[in-house]
Amino acid sequence: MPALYVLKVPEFRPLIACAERDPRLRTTDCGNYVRIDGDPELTIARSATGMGEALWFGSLVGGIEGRISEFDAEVIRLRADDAGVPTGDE
Amino acid sequence: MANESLPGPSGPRLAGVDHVAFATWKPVETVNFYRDVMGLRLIHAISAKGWGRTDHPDFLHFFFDTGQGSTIAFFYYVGTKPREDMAGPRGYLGMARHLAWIAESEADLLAWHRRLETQGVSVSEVVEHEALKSIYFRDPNGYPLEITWKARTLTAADAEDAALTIAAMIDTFGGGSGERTIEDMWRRKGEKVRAQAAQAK
Repeated sequence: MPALYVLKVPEFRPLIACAERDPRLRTTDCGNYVRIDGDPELTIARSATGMGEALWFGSLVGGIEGRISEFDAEVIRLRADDAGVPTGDE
Repeated sequence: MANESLPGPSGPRLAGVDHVAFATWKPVETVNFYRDVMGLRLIHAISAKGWGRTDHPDFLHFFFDTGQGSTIAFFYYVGTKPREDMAGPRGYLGMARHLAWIAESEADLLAWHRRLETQGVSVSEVVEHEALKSIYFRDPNGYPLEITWKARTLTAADAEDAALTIAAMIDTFGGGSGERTIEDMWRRKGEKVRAQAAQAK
């Protein structure tokens, strides 16, 4: 299932808080990061975070598991790895 | 950014910026902008008969105080033809090489924004980045400038995260970017973060 790691720093706190409020997402403490899991997909709307665009576009800097289905100014949508498609980096 | 909780460099240290220097073919506009519009102190000016070389033009070199012992300096090469490409390309590459000064507080950053706007300078809105808030504008030569306020101090966690990002970048793009994407790099970073978390358990 797709996951997103978010560094625990003040500017990304709105992203973590948004995930904590969202019943479709699960958050887990993970050292310097909070891991956000979605099942079967992970969707976060920028409007739900209150984040400005400059920061929003850096939201995946902590690393991801799965694939990006959509990432624009309004929404991040991650899905599980495509079954049977080699990624070349595993 | 200085951080006392991180180990310092092992060799000789740098103590900050002395000056940054640019060429100008608009000396009057440049002085008006830095001295009058921005209100920086003109603290030093040199003028010279070339440097004793036949191909080196006579020049002026003048310095404005930008705080903490740093200056911005300009060369005006007398009798040379303007180079329109000195400010660099337009678009996203035009901002890649730029100069960012420190505002000591968010109030100072907003005061700079008001001052520049009042003086008729085209200035961006305040942009919030990771750990920084910034405004962007250009001088009369077209050189891209930024004033930034550090919204927080960087920590050991920022440095550890940076090390993982750069390791993922090298893994992903080290052999040339080819078909690799930023998504590939974020996936690699995710693997590294997961591995580190598993090790810490």
